[in-house]
Amino acid sequence: MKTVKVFALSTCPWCKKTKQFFQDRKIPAEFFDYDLAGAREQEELLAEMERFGGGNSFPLVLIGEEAVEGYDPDQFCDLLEIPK
Amino acid sequence: MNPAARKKALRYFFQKVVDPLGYKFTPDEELAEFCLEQEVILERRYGVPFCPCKRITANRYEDMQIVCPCIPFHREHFDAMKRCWCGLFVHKDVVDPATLKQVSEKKFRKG
Repeated sequence: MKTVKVFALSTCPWCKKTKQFFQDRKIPAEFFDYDLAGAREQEELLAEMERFGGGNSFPLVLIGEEAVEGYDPDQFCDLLEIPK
Repeated sequence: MNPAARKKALRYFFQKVVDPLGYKFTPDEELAEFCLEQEVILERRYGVPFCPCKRITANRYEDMQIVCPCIPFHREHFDAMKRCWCGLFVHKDVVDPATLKQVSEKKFRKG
């Protein structure tokens, strides 16, 4: 199973839906609330998001080496090769 | 001003701004209420109702473009989605907002 990382904001409703998507399907994923992180961790999170072409809009989901910006269940399923 | 009153005030002000742009509040009341609550929190924290789904950079020029309603700064992108990024506003002709997908700006620009 590919690694899944979700970069989120605690204020963002689509980030909550994205987390729910992976939790409901019991897909192991790491969740990072950017706005709740300290300054040092924010720098690290931002550097990683920018490496995948993101950084300003949330959620940003990394599935393996692919990035999906926004709540897009169809694409999540495609990248994870699981049924929609 | 207590949060409920401030949320009501934001609804009043935002309606004035988005209506002429051809947008309305999302029919998804739960989403609208949640977004507005988050914006009241953000306004209390930063002095400005920022978009709840965008990173606040502390760069004035960039952050100005995510002050809600931020539609004018992202007009083409949002028109293509028929919604704004956080989904608080949708085009006036939208009946079911659940059918509207978030399309990243990068993907949108690629066409």
